[in-house]
Amino acid sequence: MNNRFKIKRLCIAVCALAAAIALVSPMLSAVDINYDPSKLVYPPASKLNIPTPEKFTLPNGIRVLLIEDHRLPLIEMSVLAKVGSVYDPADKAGLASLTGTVMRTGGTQKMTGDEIDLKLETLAANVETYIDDETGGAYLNCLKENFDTSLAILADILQTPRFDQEKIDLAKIEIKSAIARRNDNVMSIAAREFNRLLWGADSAKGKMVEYDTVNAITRNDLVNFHNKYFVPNNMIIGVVGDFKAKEIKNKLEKVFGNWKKFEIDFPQVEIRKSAPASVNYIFKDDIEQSNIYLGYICPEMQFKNPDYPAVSLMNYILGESSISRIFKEVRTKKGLAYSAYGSFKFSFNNPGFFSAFCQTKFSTTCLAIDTILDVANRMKNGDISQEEFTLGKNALLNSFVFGFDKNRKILQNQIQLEFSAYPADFYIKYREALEKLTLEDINAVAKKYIDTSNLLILVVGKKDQFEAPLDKYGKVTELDITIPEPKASAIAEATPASLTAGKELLAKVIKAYGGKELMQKNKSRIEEYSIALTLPQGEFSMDGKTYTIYPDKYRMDMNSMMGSMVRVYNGDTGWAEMGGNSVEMSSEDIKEAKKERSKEITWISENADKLTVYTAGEDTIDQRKIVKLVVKNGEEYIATFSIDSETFLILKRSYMGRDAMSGAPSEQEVFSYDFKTIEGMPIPFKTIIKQGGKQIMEIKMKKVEIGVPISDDLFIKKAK
Amino acid sequence: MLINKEWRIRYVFLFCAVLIFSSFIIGQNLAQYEKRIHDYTLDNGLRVIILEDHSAPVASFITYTDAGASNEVVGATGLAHILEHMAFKGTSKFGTFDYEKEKPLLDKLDAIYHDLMVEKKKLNPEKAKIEALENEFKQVQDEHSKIVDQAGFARILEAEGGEGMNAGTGDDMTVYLVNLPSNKAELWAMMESLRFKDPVFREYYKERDVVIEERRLRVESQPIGRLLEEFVAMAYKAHPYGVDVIGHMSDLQEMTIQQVKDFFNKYYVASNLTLVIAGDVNPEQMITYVKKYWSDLPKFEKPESPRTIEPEQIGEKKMVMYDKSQPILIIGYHKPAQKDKDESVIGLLSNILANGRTSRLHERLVKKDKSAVATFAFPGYPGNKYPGLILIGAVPSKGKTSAEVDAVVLEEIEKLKNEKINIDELNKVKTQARAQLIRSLDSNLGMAMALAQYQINTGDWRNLFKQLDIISAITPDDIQNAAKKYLVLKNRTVAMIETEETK
Repeated sequence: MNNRFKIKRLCIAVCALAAAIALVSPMLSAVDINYDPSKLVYPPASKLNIPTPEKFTLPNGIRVLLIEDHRLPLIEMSVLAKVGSVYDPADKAGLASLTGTVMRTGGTQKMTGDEIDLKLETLAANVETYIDDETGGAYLNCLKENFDTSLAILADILQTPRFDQEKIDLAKIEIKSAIARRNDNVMSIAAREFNRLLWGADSAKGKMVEYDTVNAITRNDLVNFHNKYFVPNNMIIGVVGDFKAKEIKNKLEKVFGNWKKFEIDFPQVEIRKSAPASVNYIFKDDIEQSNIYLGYICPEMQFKNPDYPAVSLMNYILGESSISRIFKEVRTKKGLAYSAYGSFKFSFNNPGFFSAFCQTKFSTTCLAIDTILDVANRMKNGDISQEEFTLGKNALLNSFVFGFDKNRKILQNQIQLEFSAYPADFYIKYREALEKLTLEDINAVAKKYIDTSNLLILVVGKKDQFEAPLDKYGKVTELDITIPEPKASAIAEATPASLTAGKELLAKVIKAYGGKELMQKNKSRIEEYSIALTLPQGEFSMDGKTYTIYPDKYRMDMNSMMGSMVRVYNGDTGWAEMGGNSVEMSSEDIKEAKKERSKEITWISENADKLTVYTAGEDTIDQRKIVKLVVKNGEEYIATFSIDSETFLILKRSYMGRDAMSGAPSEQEVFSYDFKTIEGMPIPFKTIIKQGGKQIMEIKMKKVEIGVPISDDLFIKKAK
Repeated sequence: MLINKEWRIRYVFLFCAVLIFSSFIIGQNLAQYEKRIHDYTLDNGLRVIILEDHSAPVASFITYTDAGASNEVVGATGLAHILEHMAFKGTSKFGTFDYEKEKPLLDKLDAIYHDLMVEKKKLNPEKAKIEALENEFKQVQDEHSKIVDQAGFARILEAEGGEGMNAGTGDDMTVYLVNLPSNKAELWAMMESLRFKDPVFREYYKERDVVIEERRLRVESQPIGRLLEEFVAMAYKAHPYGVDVIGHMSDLQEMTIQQVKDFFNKYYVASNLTLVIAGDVNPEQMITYVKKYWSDLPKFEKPESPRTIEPEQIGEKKMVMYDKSQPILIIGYHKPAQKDKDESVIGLLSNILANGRTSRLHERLVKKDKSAVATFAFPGYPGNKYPGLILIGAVPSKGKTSAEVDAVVLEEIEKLKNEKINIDELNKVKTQARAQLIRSLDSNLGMAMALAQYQINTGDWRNLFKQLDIISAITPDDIQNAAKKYLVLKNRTVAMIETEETK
């Protein structure tokens, strides 16, 4: 650097300074800035009055908490229940959420949903219901003079929701629209996928709501789900506002008194206590920043853990506040990100976790990760200073009041404690424990719980612009977040007309296949065929011969270039043999095999009386007009048959089965062609099977024998 | 508890709740409420509004600056917001371990940065020179960071129980806020005065990077962010409302600290600031504190407002953004500023149209046609101090396009113009407005913001309470006339996202 430049720079600096002084000088000369906040003497804090809610239980088990608050002419009520999407069946994910929505929109026995909307909005009252992951319930907010009307509506919604089909369909449109939008926002992608990595993608907390799972949900599912979980002994009700406790008690008894108690058999929900460490990457095209999550499950992180006060203080210092270390290092000092935080998250009675998050430009992705890791590691070594400790402790103690400055908050806290079976004085005890904490206590919990050796890392971004490859943190897995297209077509609900039409149509189909008697007579069948398989690995072909005795015995002998295989199922057991090895069918396989039979016309003709059969619209297959026929066994969906409207032959069967490769639920479509009549029965000589819309198999029949004797020996396993 | 240091008013339609309400019940409550509000003006022009509420031992404190992104000029967009960030950097006493040592380093950094920019902008910049300057810059930054006490200012308030310490920049204003236990009121008066009497804009270049990340986060990496930025740019060809508060990327990247200081000196003067304290404070005591710490701010004339007036729109404007996102529809109609007599009618009109389950657009699009999953309306976007937009929006259902939803919105708007609204429907939105007001009284912070906003935008906070009578007098004719006057095609701007597949 030569002198000329230095001088020039000096000149500029002096000029800039002069300009600044010129502008600011009137202030500088006049203002007093010599204040010392540490010398301030504060008046004593006004007393924080925390009311104790009045608590009682109605005879049917509803627990009630009340706080009177006469400042404004308003009443708020909230209802909390143990229910949630964790109880959704995997193939009907979305059921809880749908139930939570349609309870409110779908009307009650007395009013339609639209009537409720108009009534409430005319009164400027809000009544809403919801079901989240692990809780559900309702919320009411109204002017006090409208409380009785609003309460009556809420009580009906909870007890006798109507679940109008139209509103179910509307809610399904909303939920599917949300699925379609779920990859639009990078922050929600990152949060969602981190959550799934943490708890398991297929776990109760990680499973996804998909088009298919929504399509599979029926009105009956909603009715049953509601009936099971919305029982009085599963409800906690809190009311706060401008009322007299005694009056409210009478009102609640009046509207909820007839609600019958019922014990709920809650499904077991597995929540794992650790997650495998992994490095994960998601590509997203239309963003300009990486979204980064780091974390791990920490099963000890429950509020009842005696370490909770110490960890909450450590959280404050580590990365939960704008003066925390992570915020200071990532944002203030390095200017890497707008938001940056990291802390332990607590749960009441389940495992908690650690997570850190930030967003930074692609070229500082690893730098941001390293910075957070470095902050965490240094804290693990117990380097919290006395000064940080004192600051954090004062901050938490002095801001404690903000958790209790509204009666609404106090009531919500108490409802939550009651719900989680925690003592009512939990927060008071927490404050006392906070006061007693020492620096050693928080350094000890930092050492005990911070652990960066088994991290889950997730980055959403564009890896070709990262400053270094992510594999410096471990083997990188790229996650595919493509939204699966719907596989199963939506199954329509039955109406009286479609049930009648279905019954008539089925009779014609049975007749077309020779009638029930003929089918029962022709129970045995030997088929020889060739199969062309289309698998991800390539094309394969094989020859096969199947011996079948209806209803529950079959044996398949297959030959291909790779060897031969035998698969036998005899109604109770089954096995497969290949290359000298024999594998027993699992109970799951046997269930599947049994289900398989129920898709055959022979079985359906035998059981026609107890099945629910109805038409579900028209369509065409290869320019043939078809009518869709839905077959259900009780609530269990069996299949949809596409019936040729002239010949009444089955051109297509579609049903939910298992994916040949992954075993995951997947829509199966079986297309039948080239019918030939054998022994009075129409037999398709060409069959194409599609899975999830893709062709996986084509079967060409060579020879079919019907009604011929088949030896029972074929279905018995021979001892070696 | 997650704290983001600021949020932008533009996306938080905090004020909608208190814009409108009707009169027939609140009467008494409201009259009493108004009695608890006190206001003062110091000799230097600083205005102070105090709202007493002793229901809990806490209070909300805000400093409302009558300057925001609308006060920026071409080439300096994003300035008001960067300044808001810098206002957290402390003073000569808080935020540093040694100001005597720090001051020359800060000057040195600015000088090196200046040279660096000069060199970079040359037609044939010398690579070696740039590198050398960059190294030197980095070196001084490292040296400086050793004597910076990060968060040294915020920490004082945090330690005493400060909660929700935050700030927001909008087109119309910049606001700083914090909640404290009420016995710490004097601490706030002291520290907040220091913040504006003795600011030190340290770590400017890093904070500018943070703001650049904020732009990437809010605008560039989100479909709705990209859409809204284009939407206002299209709706305003002249007025500063046409530039997003966050500013253009290139302006941010080249913003100098001198620009920030100039903006501060011009707009952060006593006559341009309003302090509002709402909560468990004694008004007399509180004003004593304020006088003690703020009286010596010099008296300056209130700075001039932006001169540009948006000319009348002469035809419908439309943009379709084919994006990797599901469709979103945004429609705007120009409307007058908040102080206009039509303001309350427009508020009701927006609610009739799109807010609530029984609003016109929800009934039609969501319930009947099932072509949208949500509808909304805001009567004053992106600001309210100057003529803003009636903003109407819808989120199309899966498989539906913004264009087909837009066509139905137009149909429903025509109905409002052609058919007089039923009195029950009008009474419904009036009742809702009234209930909204009562609910908003429960929040110290919300009321503090509303009082400040009414003071600045209409000239008197009391207008907040006068709305009551105005709303109750609104008739079906008023609604229809407003619809006919404002919801016309040539006054309309439409921005929509459609999926890439529909291109």
